[in-house]
Amino acid sequence: MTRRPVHLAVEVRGAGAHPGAWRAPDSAATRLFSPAYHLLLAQLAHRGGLDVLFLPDSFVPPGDDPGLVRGALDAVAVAARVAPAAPRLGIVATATVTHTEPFHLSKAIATLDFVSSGFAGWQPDVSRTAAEADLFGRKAAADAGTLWREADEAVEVVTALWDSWEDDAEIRDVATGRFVDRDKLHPVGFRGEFFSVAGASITPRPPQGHPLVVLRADEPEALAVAARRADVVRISATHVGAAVAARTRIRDAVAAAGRDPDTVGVWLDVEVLVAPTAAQARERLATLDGYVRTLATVGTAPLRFAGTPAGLGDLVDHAVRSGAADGITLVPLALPGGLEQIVHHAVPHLVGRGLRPERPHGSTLRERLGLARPANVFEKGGVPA
Amino acid sequence: MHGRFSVPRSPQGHPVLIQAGDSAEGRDFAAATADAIFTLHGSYDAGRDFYADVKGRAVRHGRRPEDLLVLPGATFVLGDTDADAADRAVEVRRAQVGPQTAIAFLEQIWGRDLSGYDADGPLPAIDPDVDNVSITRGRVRHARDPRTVAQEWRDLAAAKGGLSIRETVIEATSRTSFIGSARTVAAELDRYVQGDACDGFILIPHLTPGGLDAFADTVVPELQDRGSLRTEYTGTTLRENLGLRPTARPATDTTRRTSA
Amino acid sequence: MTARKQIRLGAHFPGVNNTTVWSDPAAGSQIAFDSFAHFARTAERGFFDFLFLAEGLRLREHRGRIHDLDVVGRPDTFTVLAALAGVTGHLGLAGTINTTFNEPYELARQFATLDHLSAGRAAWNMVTSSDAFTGENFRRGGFLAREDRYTRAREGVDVCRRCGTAGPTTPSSPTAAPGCSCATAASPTCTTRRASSTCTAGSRCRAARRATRC
Repeated sequence: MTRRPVHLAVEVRGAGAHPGAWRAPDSAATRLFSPAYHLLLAQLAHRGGLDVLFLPDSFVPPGDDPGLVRGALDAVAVAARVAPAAPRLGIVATATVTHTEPFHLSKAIATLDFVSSGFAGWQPDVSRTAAEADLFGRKAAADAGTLWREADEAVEVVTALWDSWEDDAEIRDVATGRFVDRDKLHPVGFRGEFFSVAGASITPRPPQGHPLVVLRADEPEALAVAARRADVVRISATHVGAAVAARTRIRDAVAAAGRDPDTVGVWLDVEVLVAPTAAQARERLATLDGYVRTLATVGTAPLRFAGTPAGLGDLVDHAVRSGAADGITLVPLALPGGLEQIVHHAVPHLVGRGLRPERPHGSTLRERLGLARPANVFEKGGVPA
Repeated sequence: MHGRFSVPRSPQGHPVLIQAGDSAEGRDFAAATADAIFTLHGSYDAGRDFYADVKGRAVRHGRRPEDLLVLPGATFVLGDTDADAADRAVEVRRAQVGPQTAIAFLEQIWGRDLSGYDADGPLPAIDPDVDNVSITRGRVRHARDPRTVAQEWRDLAAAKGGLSIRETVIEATSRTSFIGSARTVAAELDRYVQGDACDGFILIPHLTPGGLDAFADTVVPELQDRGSLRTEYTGTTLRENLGLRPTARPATDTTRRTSA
Repeated sequence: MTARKQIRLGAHFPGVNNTTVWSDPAAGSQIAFDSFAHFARTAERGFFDFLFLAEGLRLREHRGRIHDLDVVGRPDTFTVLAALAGVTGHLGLAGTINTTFNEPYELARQFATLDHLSAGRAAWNMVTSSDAFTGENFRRGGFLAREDRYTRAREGVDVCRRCGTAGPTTPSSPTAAPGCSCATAASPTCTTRRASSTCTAGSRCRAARRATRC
């Protein structure tokens, strides 16, 4: 029997998702900001045939806790830096919309799609804190409802800008001297509650039409935006049962927004530490825990797995069979070793069980995920957003 | 704005700063702040004047002359011989200014719809509409009186024996370009640099993406033979390769280095 | 004998005005990454100091319609330069970035990122704008009066320089001792108000560094 393979992503956070990960002797704590480190992670993900590499980001300034890794590079730039070295790896960068101009975001993500030859994606997020607002000095921090209304508009404008060039706008017609058919370039003329953008993008429509749009729906205020605009919705849940409930809620919201729930994947985060034996995994996790004086948890504790490749396979199988997820985002607790274990041991195991294809297909990220290339809202018959 | 920065000190501390702008205000800003100035001053003599002016300004701001590089934008056309290059340059100019482009340039000056005019015919007898200043948007406009420019173009067309619209635009919108064999172009570029008309160039090829290929293959070795261009990169950062001084580290870092 | 004056070379990627010839059969894509990679590699083969990208944030119009006779369409500057850092090893990467339509903190972070990702090859061609037409693409809207453009430009450069030299530092080695502090030292606090900037490396910063040696 052939099973529908599960989509598999990895999210890399600093030295690893575990707060003590940087203290491990095999961590990359001293070179977290070097291009070589990011290249290593991307090439590992590429070698493992993963569908997506998630690169998180925020403007949150470094905190006071000196026991934590502080600072991070701009994720879109990191994505662009590694993309040429990891062909056919989906790369999805987080870029926040609260303080950044949608015009800049639109061309940045479109350019990432050109640089990755159609394997780019964008995870919009909001900036919640006063500390972030202070870095810009333009407006105060806002409540979640306002932030996500603004985000909804931002995604709409960014998408409209991607569509502002029809795919065949460039004609290079020597006889008439025209490089473009200007009837196929559309000023977006957007006026909303938060933004107004007049013109067309300076960047042509990207290879995928729309790079993949990924949203988290952990907050209720974000769910409506995800239901309207996401290609993939990410969730975090403490156990598989909670994920089943979340996925059902999301699919209902997607249907209520007038979309087919089967075109919107729900991907579940799993923090992971894989080792050859369960005992080794437990020991390694205990070592990481021992590096940290107090293990404070912020928000919902996500699913965490520490065990063997077979054990991880069981979890993935269970999550998919029980309707908890269409895809799994593995979040290594420690890097780069945790990703090496996933690529060298866990992925081959998943392939062996038919949970992953031997050779991922698709000439773009959308194709890989079985998603259609979006129609252009400005083309004849379409209605501007 | 207020807060902590989230990225550690980068290899250069901050990027090499280039300032584009030829206005007095732009020059002064560059002289006080920038590592390089991107200018449009093209001819050798105008370049020498500009060079002396901005280096003098840099010194008045307490900097060394070599702390501010003067880099004019320049185009080039290469050929096997100087004559061959000159022929090619004519072809390139005709490709850059096609009939429709010539009319569009004319419309920018005249402020009118001139689409009915033949680019191979004479300049319009009608005068510019001086009230229609926003015919072109989204690019830098020159603030000169269009009537003056129109008269200059008419004078130019007449002086050259009755140029067509297209020929006039080609002549009038030409900028300094280095045209010749690789050896000729290398010698001329080097003359500008050694003669303090500039410190180098920002070269603007006319073809994407291969417009630099011939330059790299033929002019670069000539410049290297003259001892005016590196044969390997010696610095580890752009700032070092440009011969600029490193950026200062903040005081706390100095404290750390000395106490560690 | 003094050394011969060395020529500095920048390679301007062909732009969106009539200087760029697109009707030639040899003319390739203005947007495909391969074009940028080819151009950058050629510049590096020719020992150029840097590649130079121009920028315009609104499509040009002529007689009320998009100008269609010249090349149109270009990439996001930071994104394409970051990618080019991966296909070159020595070439400087200079981007034109407008201080009028970008936020100083964001620029500082993007340039610092580019400098890390290129191992020290970032350059900024700083331009200002008084162009309301372009401003219509941004929520800031409008534009700045000519005299304010340079005030904002100075602030932009200032923030970039102060932040660029004032971020957190990375640890010299991982340390396993639980409770021993300082994964990365605290970065100092930067404050900028209109036309005046201060950046103080506070006592907290030094305290954190002392803790590294616990």
